[in-house]
This record gives sequence, C-alpha cells and structure tokens, in this order.
Amino acid sequence: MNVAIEIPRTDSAGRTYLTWAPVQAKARLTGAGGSGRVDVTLRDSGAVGHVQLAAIRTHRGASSLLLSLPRSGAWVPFWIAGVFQSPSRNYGDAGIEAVDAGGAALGSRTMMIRVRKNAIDLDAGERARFLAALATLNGAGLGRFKDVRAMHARLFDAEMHGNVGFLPWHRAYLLDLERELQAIDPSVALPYWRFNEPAPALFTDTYLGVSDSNGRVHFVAGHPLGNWTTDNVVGIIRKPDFDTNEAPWGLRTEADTIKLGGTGGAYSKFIAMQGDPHGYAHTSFPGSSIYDTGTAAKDPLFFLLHANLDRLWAYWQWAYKRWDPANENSYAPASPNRIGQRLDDSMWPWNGITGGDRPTTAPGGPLAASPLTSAPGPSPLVRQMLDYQGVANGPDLCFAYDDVPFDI
Amino acid sequence: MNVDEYRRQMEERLAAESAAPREPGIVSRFLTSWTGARGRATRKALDPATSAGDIDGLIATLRDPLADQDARRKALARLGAARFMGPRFAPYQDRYRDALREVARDPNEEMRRRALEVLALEEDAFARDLLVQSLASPGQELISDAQAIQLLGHDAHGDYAPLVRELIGRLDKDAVAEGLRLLASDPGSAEMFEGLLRDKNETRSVRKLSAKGLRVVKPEAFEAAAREIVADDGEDDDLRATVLSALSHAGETAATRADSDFIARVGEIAEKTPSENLREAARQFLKSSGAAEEGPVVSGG
Repeated sequence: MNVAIEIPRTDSAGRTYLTWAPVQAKARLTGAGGSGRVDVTLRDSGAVGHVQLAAIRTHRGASSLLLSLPRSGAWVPFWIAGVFQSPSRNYGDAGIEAVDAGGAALGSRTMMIRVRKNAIDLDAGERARFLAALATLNGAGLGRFKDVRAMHARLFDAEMHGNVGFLPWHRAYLLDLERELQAIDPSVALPYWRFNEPAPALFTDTYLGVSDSNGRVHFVAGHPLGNWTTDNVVGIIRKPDFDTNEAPWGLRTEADTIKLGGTGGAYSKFIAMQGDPHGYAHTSFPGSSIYDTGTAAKDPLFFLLHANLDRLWAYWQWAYKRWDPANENSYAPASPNRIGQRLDDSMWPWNGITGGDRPTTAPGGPLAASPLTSAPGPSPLVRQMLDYQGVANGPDLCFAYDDVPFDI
Repeated sequence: MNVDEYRRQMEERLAAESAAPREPGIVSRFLTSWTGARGRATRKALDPATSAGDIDGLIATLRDPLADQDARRKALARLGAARFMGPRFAPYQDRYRDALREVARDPNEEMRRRALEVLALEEDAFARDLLVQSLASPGQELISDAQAIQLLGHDAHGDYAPLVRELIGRLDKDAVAEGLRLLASDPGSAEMFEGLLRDKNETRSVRKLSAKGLRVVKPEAFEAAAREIVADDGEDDDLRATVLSALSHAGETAATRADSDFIARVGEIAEKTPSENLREAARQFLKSSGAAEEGPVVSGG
C-alpha cells in the first residue's frame, strides 16, 4: 500500500515549485483494496525548505496533517505552502512524506520552495545558477535578452514611466524575465538589490562586478557575465557615486516608502515612490547605463533594482492589504489615466498592439509562459498584477519575496 | 516565522523607524557642506520636484558656473531622478537639454563630463559632435579619450568605427580598451580582432577584449579560435577561462558543447588545472553541455 501525492505547480519533468501561497494538492491510497479508510499523516520532510499543511486555505498551516484516505483510492484534497522565511536553496531540499500510524513511509514528494531573495543572501550555488542563467539568456548579445532589453527603451517611456501603471508594468516585465531565466534553469528566482542597505558582497568581481575608474565593470576571468553584450557593445558601464561598501545616499527609507500611501494606504499616493526611491536609486550611478530610462536595461543590476521596488510594492500591499482590485485604494482610478494604465487594460508590449496611442512596435512578443500556471496569460491585464499571490482569489503568479508573506 | 507575529513586528518597526533620525552616516555625508537652513533646503530639494519653480531652479543652479560644485552635482542628480517621472517631465525636457549642452562646455571638467554623460545616454546629436571633435583635437579635449569613446558607444545607430580605427595608434591603454569595445559593433573589425586574439605577444586585456569583440562580429571564427585556445595548456589561463565561459553561454556554440572530444578535454582541464577561475569555467562548460546533469527526485505513488 502506498500514498500517491499530486501537487499543482509541477512541471513536465516532475519538479514541484512552491512559494508562500497555499495550493490545493491531493493524496490517495494505491494498492490498498477493500473498504473503509486508512489514517495517514502527511508531514514536512524538508532539510532546508519547509512546507506547512492544512485542510483549508490558510497562512496558519502546520508541519503535519492527518488525512483519512479511502481504501477505494479516491483522492482527498489538502493545502500545502512553503513555510514563510524557510525557503529552499536547492531543488529537493524541501518535501513531504506520508506515513502510516506506525510511522512506516508510504510515499513522498520532494520540491523546492522558490522565492525571490535579497541578492546578498544567495549562497554560492544559488548565485552561480542565477548568473549562469542570465548569461545564457544574454547569449553574449545574441540571446533572448535582446528582446527583454528592447522593451525598456526611451521610445516607449510613456508605457512604463511617469504614470500609475509604473508598478504593474514593471512587475510584468520582471515576471517575463524571470520566466525566461526559469526556462533555462527552473531553480532560479530573480534576486533583489535592497538598495537601502549596504550590499558590498553584490559589487564584487565574483558577483555583479567591480567598477574601475572609467566606470567599466570587471569580473573574474571566466565569470558568466564577463561576455555580457547589449546593443552589440561588450561590457557594462556602471559608475556609482557612493561607496559600494555602503548604501546609496539620500534615498527615501523603506519605512518612509511604505508610509507614502498615508494611513489610508492609498496607491495613488504610494506611487510617488517612482521618484524617490526609484529615481534616486537609478541616478546613484551618474553616467552609467542604469542612469537613464533608455539604457538602464543594459545593466543586469537594473533588474535587481526593480525587483526591490516591486518587493516594496508587495510589502506595502501586504501592510495595507491592498491586493483586491475592487478596493479603490489598491490601485488608481481609470480617469484621467491613459491606455495601458487602467485596471482592465492590457499592457504593451505583451498585447502586441501598435499604433494609435501605443508605440509603433512591440518587441518581445507575449509574456513568457510558465509550466506551473497559466496565469496571467500571454497578454496580461493591469489588474492581474495586483494579487500576485492569489490572496484575494486573484491569479497566483508563482512568485513571492522572502520577506513578504502570504496572509489571508 | 508566524505570519501574524511578523505583522505585529512590522507595524512596530514602521512606527519606530519613522520616529528615529536617519542613520548618521548617510545624513552627515550629504549634508557635509550644508548647515542649518541650507541643509534643510537641500533635503527638501532632494524630494522629486513636481513644480515648475523647483525644476527651473535646479536648471539654473546646474547652468551656473559660479555656483557651488556640490550644489550643481546635486541639482543634476535631482533632475535625473525627476526625469524618471516620464511624460510629467516632458514640459521641462527642452530646457534641461539646453542646460546640459551648455554645461558640456563648462570650465569645470567634472561638470563637462557629467553633462556629456547624460546627453550621450540620451543619444544627443550635439553631444556626439562635441565628443568627436574632442577626440580629433589632441590637447583640446573636453574629456579624456577613453571617456569620449565610451560615451560614443551609447549611440546604437552611430558608426564611429572608422574614427576609432584611425585614432587607435595614438590612444592610451584605457582608450584602446574602450575602442575595442566599441569596435565590437563593426563587422569590418573581425580580422583585426582575430589577429589580436591569436597573438600571444599581445596583452591579456587586449586579447580578452578581442575575444569578446570577435564573438559578436564573427561568432564562427570566435568559436574556432576559442576551442584552440582552451585546449592549449600553453595559453594564458585567464584568457582560456574567458573564452570557455563564452562558449558555455552562447546559443550558436551548441555544436562545440556536443563535441565529445572537446568535452573530454575540458574535463581534463577541470581536473588538472591549478587555475581556480579556469577550473570553475570548465565546470560551467561541462554543466552547460549536459555532462553534469541532475534529475528530479520523486518517489511514492
């Protein structure tokens, strides 16, 4: 007699990736025969990543769950999620096992609790995999990264900057990149640069590089990003105007950013973070690719900078419970915002719409698919970017941040 | 971590951080030359400007060669941040650009460089002309040759290869490095890159940049040269690591990554080389070629 366990968020290779968001899984007996039921305990078996289990959808799961499984082999549902702040480092370091009343093993599944982490918290293996995936995507200038870079050009500024759609657009952009990376290595999640705190380990020649006096970024020989090429020009130009052993100066603090929305938690006020800390984070590197909207995506650091901004938005959403588009404070009103900025608008370039109020081209094609979920689809709407963990029954986009929980 | 407890801690932290003064190091750094009312004005001024008065005031400070240098730098930083407001900055864009063009010829070298950097990132034609003129006028440079070439490289549609090739013989090593990077956009540089890459008498830096350039302009020539270099124990290990890394991550080198003889050779290198960087590059190559693959772990039912 065994226990079969099926968990959504499993790819075609049989690998399961969870975040903090509960997913409904199921278990059943196989080879039991007869009638009646067998009590089976499902329990967390992870060595690094850990899961919590529950009979209902909740953020208050436990490390074990007793299930009464029919001998007929009928499926019995349960809920499983990653334990907040216990993410994986490698695939297989998280899992569950099913045991009978005597403790005998009846079945198991290994998995990965895969979330976006502070870049300086990645261990050597995680860092190596992230950098290798990024380098492969770049393909020394000839890979799919060309399209990712092309989407964030000055010509298309109105689609993504200076307006209320700034945050959902960039959330979709990061998701697109991350899925491209995961198509290369599914264990990779996009890390973030927590720019309000010192991150000296990030600016080293074994990680995101060290700048010389001309602003040229150098890596150790053989580093995956050593051949980084964009727009047919080799290398990265990055000139920090701060000591990289410290944080950039003058940025709005995280606490003040979170409080931008006021005590009422209004998105229309929170969006001011676009100027500070966002704008200041970019302009902490004068004369660098990352300084200007038109060239920023040429530097890989740009994606880690924006991952932190997205994390700050996610944190604010959690602090004020602003996931539900039906709540007027979760987003901005339709008027007077232009097309592409309103809740029910699709977003360029993924919608492929050109001309009229949209740009004349739409590089990159539809949003990258995921083997784990069909959400948000190839042409995402603004509203689909809000409830990214499915707290308010929106589409779970299968990403999360290490310090932003799922919280019903 | 209990999520409910985490929420409670978050609420306490936000309340405490908002009440506490900012970290002294950061505050003292950017208020070093500012005291009292000027410090407070600077802090206020560093909030993204939304009013025309704020922006025009910053532009005036930026343009004024007699203004405090720190104030001019901060004005430029604030204008740069305001630029991220996208269409909302549009009404000020022309005045901002005109100010930058003026500062590109400022008496102060640092301000010239900073203005040219911003303009070059925006692919400003006026700035490009100044940079070309600077390169062509030894002794009358606006900024260093290395910086000028680097900034011209931001122009994705420009063709500066003939100019750089003409000047390369008189450039210092930093400018040569920038020149080689820029020439990676020029298919006509393939022969030069291949020659430099294969020349063991060249410096490591030049050979590495040539490898990267050849990779862009003539991938098949790069792949052939890279395989020879990797296999040659008499070659520079850092160069071998650099080209091996490129072979690992480029899509069109799939044939090399499927070549069992080459994979075996890289396997030997991974085992025997004393160079840590080369060993790591070899491991990455073997992984990318599928020589070190892991499968899923699923058991039960």
